[in-house]
Amino acid sequence: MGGRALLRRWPLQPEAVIRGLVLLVLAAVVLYPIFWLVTNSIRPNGEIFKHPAEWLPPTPTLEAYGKVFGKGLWLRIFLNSYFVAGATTLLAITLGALAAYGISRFAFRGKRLLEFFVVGTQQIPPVAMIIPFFALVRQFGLYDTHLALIITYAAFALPLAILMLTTYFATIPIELEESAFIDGAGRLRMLWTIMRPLALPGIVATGVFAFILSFQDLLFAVQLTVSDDMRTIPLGIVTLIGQQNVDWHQMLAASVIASIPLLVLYALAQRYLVSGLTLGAVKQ
Amino acid sequence: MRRALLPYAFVAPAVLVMAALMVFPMGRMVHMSLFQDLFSRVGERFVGFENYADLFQKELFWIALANSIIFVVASLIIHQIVGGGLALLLTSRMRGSLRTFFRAIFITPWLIIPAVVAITWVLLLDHRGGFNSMLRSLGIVECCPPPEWFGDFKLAMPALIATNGWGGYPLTMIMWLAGLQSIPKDHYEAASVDGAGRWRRFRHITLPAMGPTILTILLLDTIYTFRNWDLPFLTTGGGPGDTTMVLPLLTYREAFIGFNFGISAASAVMILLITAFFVFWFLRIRGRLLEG
Repeated sequence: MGGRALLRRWPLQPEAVIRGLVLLVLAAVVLYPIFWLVTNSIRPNGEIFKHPAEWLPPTPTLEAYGKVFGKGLWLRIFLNSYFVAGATTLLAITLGALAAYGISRFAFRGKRLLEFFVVGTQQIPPVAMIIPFFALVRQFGLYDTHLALIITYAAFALPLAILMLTTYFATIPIELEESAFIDGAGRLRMLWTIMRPLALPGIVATGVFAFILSFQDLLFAVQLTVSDDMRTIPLGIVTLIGQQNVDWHQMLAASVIASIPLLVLYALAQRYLVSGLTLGAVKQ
Repeated sequence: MRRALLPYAFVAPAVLVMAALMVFPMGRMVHMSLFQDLFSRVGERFVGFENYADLFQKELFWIALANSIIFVVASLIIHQIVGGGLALLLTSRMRGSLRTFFRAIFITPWLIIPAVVAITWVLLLDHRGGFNSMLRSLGIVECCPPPEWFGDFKLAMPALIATNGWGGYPLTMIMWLAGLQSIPKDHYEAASVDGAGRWRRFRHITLPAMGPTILTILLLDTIYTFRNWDLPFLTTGGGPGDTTMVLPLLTYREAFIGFNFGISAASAVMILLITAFFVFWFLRIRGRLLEG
């Protein structure tokens, strides 16, 4: 083979080779639990705890996936999670962008106080307010609704959203807006036509954070919903543990399916994520 | 007049939502911590700081506090070493596509839902689970029966920390990556010309430039880890024998299992106060670092 040609084309220094090997080994260690999860979801039921365990199931089967997809309830649960997380993301970005625009483009009395408020609310631990929250939601007749979850997650996503978007908006030169202002564009139109495209990386990064926060939550889902068809994915998975004779098999398959959307989301958004974060999260 | 009100119109919706859904319930929780017989038919009655006195007299509170501190400190150390180390490896010279590939792989644990993380690790660390099976195959654990990691008095906390270490390091790594990207390249080039080795470049350029970023990460990570309820709830539930009981779990248990709402509220307020203490402490160090 043209080993020498390959070497010339791709000058590998020993150092780079070692670094590559280290990264590969670390990647294998980090991925091991995920590998275990996926391979066990395609093992025949009851072989999860077999010893010695083969690395790959000798007789793979998609039986568990059939069970999950065969149930209308699971489809409902998946749709619930997408809907709640999607709505949360839209709400958090909209309210966050409005507030960030106000903070980054105006000087006004109480601005320092507002910034303190935003940073302060970010420190509030969800578990420390769950009881009054429960009471509040019941009082407004929102118990066991998706609306309750959406506004809750949006509220918790807002502090970080405002912080990230404010720093991002601040990097966009104000001159761009001044010319539009002369053309008679209103503030909201400027936010939409000028800021939105220019701040896209920051907006996408913020949106990913809001989506993940909503998609992953268990605490509020447990407290604020009760009926089967209101469940979100984390609750759906956890509910399986509560049953007698836990169907691990089905749970693993559901877990794998549940994990895919966020991986896809990352793959789609990763280009924006790092640049959006570089400005956003670190410099607050 | 209208122009002066404009900025308030922009920030009002977000502020209203946050005030109604975060500040108000938080205030109500503080209020509740001063009452007993909450949500009862006899009606709530003001007891001053009695709930706090009761809480401090519970041995479980001090156990939970100590466990929380161990959990946070150990998790943070793992997150910094793994997350920071990987970020440094990923910013070293390599092909762009290779960097993207490895970055995506190392971020995956962050994208897995905590409920799934918990279930995976519970099954993996079961006494018949994959991890023990691997140890037995390698001849490391000869003894039968192999350990039940989450059910062992000595091993439950390390297992919980390992689970959180795995699930939590990517966020540290992402923030390290973002911080490393904002260090100007010419600093390194100048140092290379001066003949500085790798360690000296790390010690004299990277570390000082990353100082404030690392503090921000530590601060956020402390807050997130300290409030973590999902993982302990789903893996150990605080057991065996309270060895993994942490403050959020105690708060939850007092309210929803013991129905001691007042004590639960007091415990919640303690979480809030300790968080606030950390925030101010970190901000002071950070301020000093930015000045010096």
